[in-house]
Amino acid sequence: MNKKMLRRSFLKKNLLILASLMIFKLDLYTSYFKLKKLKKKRNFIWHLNIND
Amino acid sequence: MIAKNLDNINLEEFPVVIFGSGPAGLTTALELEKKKIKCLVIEAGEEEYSQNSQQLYEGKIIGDNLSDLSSSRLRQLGGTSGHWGGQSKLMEPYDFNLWPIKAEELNIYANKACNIINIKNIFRKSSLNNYFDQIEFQYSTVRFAEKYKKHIKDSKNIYLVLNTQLSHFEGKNKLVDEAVCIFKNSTKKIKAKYFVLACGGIENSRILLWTREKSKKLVNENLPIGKYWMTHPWILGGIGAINKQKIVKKLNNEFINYEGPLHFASKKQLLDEKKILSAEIYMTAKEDEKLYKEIIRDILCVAPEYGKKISHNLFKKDLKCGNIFMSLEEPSNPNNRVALDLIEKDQFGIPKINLFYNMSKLTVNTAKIFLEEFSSLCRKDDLGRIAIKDNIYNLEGYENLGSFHHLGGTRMGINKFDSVINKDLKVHDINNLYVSGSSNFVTGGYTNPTLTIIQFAIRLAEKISERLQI
Repeated sequence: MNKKMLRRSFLKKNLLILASLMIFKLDLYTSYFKLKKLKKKRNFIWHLNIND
Repeated sequence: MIAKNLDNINLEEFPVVIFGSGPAGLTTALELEKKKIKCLVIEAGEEEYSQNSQQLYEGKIIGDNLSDLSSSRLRQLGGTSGHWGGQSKLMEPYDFNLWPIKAEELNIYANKACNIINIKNIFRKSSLNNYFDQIEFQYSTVRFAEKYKKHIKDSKNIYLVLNTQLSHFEGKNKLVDEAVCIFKNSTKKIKAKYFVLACGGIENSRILLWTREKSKKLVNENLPIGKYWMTHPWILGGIGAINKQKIVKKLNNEFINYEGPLHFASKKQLLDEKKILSAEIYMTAKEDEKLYKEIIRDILCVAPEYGKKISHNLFKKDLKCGNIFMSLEEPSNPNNRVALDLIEKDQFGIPKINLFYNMSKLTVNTAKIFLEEFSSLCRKDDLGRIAIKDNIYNLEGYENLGSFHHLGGTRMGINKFDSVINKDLKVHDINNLYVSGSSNFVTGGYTNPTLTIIQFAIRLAEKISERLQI
């Protein structure tokens, strides 16, 4: 395997990890944002137990 | 018989004249007919809905927001039953604490009243705890115009005249001599032994106020006509997730209607201990899928452990997620009132109305305490979780989704200084004038008023026929 191939495979692997991380992060970010927005829009105060 | 005007009708032959053909007026007419008593029913509107007729119901609301007055009531044959929702229930016995009549005296007419609107006289109740009951409503699909039009057409004892506006009553020495009516541009005066004013929760006050202006010798100037006006604020109290299966267990399988809407109402103990008014909450039978998902997402965010716990029940019949609506009682406040507009008059020369209305802090507090106590019960017994609308929680007020019930204005009572009519619906100091309808209510409770209006209307027919027999 030459140097070029090695670099390409390294990039591929890392890009995959990066992409999945991004998706994961993006997903988290989106739902967090949506919930925030949702709460802001809806203005309800939940009455919960401490262990809820 | 149904006539389009008063021409060709012998106005001397009716011992009773009823103004208004809604549930109150028609019920009394139908009951009098059973006793072979002839009555003339005068309806200001047409046989069916008309924009021109509705415009005459316009009025100014001064203060807080209410539903538009020209659309929340109908000026036509059958009155507001032409578009009512049909949700019916007897009022709670404790609702009558300040009335001059007790629930038992009225509930002897419950069967008859239920027959009139084609519902069962079954209003089950299941005690959830000391503060709340699960309650049951019946739903009527009766429109009085549809149900009774043919019957009235064929009747020999009920004469119904359309398109005729009552202006005012004239008389002296504690007796109404004549009712002044207007058809197009001509005025006619109708004589009778007994007159029944049943024109609706605002119109009853307007006509009596105008009568006082026109016939000062007839109406006691101290009667609080138009005052103590109320409605049932219909509001969004919050959202929630309720586990029906757990409520079934708590109620020892006395849960009412698993497939239907969920209704919970306050018990007297809650009102007495917390010093609040009566209220009811409900969740509709049909789930809104989008809202359901939003509520679950909210719960997963604010209460992940609880969210996990209920996740196996998602979209199953046992778990109910949705809006929590409320129907609230208001205090009787003399400052909330129907008054005559001093400048604007309608096409008949009768002053239009100004409705002075302000929501009460006690009603907002009632909503908050009810929801807090209910959510606390849900948490403790793990029946579900509730979120309260922030403006209610912070006691800032509420957004009124609709105020279709017009109560008070010709209040029932013993004392002439804080009431207009007595328990038989007779106006104080006028021996032959009765007022029928929700304008007579002393308190509103949380219950829709129509069934109670009909109970009183049946009782009124009995009282009038007793007097006619003497």
